[in-house]
Amino acid sequence: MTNANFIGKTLVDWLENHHSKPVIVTEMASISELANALLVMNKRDAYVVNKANRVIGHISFAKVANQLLSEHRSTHTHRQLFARVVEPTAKELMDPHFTSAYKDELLCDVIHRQLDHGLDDLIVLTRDTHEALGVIQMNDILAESL
Amino acid sequence: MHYTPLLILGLLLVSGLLLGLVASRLKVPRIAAYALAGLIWSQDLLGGYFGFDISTWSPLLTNLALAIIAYTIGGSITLEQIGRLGKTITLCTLGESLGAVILVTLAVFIYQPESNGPIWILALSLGALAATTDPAVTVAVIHQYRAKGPVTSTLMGVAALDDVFGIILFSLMFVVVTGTSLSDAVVGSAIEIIGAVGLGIVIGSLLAYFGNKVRNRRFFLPMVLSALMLSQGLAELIHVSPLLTAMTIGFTARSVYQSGGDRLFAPVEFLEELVFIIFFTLAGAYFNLSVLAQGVDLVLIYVFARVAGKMLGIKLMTRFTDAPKVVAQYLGYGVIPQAGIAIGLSLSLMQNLAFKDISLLVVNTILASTLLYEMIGPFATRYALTKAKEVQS
Repeated sequence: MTNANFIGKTLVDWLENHHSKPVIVTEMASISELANALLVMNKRDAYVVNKANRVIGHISFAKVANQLLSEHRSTHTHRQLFARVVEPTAKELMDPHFTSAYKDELLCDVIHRQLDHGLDDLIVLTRDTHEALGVIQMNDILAESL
Repeated sequence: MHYTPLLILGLLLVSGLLLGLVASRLKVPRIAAYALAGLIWSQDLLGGYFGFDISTWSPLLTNLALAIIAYTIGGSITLEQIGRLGKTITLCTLGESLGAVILVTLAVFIYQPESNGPIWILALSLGALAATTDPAVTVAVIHQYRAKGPVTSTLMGVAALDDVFGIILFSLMFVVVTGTSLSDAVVGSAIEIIGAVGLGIVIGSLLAYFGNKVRNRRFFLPMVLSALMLSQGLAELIHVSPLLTAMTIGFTARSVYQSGGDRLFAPVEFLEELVFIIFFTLAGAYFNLSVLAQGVDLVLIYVFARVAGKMLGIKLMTRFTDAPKVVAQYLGYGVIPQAGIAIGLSLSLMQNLAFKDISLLVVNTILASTLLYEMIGPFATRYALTKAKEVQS
């Protein structure tokens, strides 16, 4: 049980007090650029945007690490072998079916979504253009709930 | 006593797994253990004693297992990534695949080994099986010696890409041989191939469509397996190549779904080891000492002609690329290993009437040569990487 009261709080309200920038990369970003961006901002989730700044996919830190350090794996599937040879771009690595939330949603309605998908940073989007407004950090939610 | 297919299959898989685990512990190639497990249940040993019959049900299993492999290979690369592979990898793959196919076909045809069936079918079958390599051995050796450099990177690309060529060439051979006349073979082949690609595009697009709609990850494996089973049934019904259909489904699904393929491919990739246990235990169970004794010379011809074809093909093709000299000199040694896919493809001949008289000889030849390649393959790959000065440890 937590002491926090998240009821009635929208994501916009939450972001006002807990604003956190998402890691955003372009479709053509290389795997090294992705890893750098995640490390510099000390995050576990990166989001890919297209030319119109619309968020189109998600890449986890684990996926980036797996790809970048693939030479240390002794077995590869054909897919992993090709990926190692051609060095995929962010667009080729991303999952286009990512979990997100809209700014007008209630925080108590999206926490379970973030927990279900094991996301450290859940991206908050505008409804019409799907542009990134910020991320809900699981760290902040946990800290608030203590 | 009547032994049901499930009991026989269970015995094959359990013995394969147990011996495979022991082999892993002893650092011996697992596939040799799987083949040995199958051999225990062959007609010459316990299978004959108990009167096991695997010929009635094994083709169904082999076909499904091959469809799974063809699907994962088809979905392992996108069109854009093929473009980025580069001229060296593409041309070297073409060279070593075709070199092995041509040289094995010619060698078998010229040698005229003892066979119950037409030599030209035997030569074409073994030739078409010569293209694929075993990337698992390549990756394991590269990892063990921390190899880096032009030979290493080209080798990884070639070892992965030639399985794509191998499946295409085998499918072409299959439709040509099963055609009733030369003109029928040409027209029929074209229809079978175009039909397979068309069917694969339709089912692959549908799979990607449902992949986009379905969010629950638990549905992905059943979705893919259902699509593959349906596609294989439809391919047989309309007489198009089932293997090409499965490979096109993978390629289309990956392209249309537009992601790294984690959802539509990762669950199926987990089945790869099971598929290889099935292939090798079945091939072991089809082991026949008298057939192999009759074909010892054929095994040696296959082994040497395949290696020579691959090396010559690479030497020839590197002339048209700007690859460093070491690639032309040593890449050929790295593509010697051959394993699971060749075994699976050879098993698929067992059910077709056109290959009735030669299929057992082909399976036994490929099984014996695979075991030889597994022994010499790692040393040959290590030799290539060492001579190219790409070994780091």
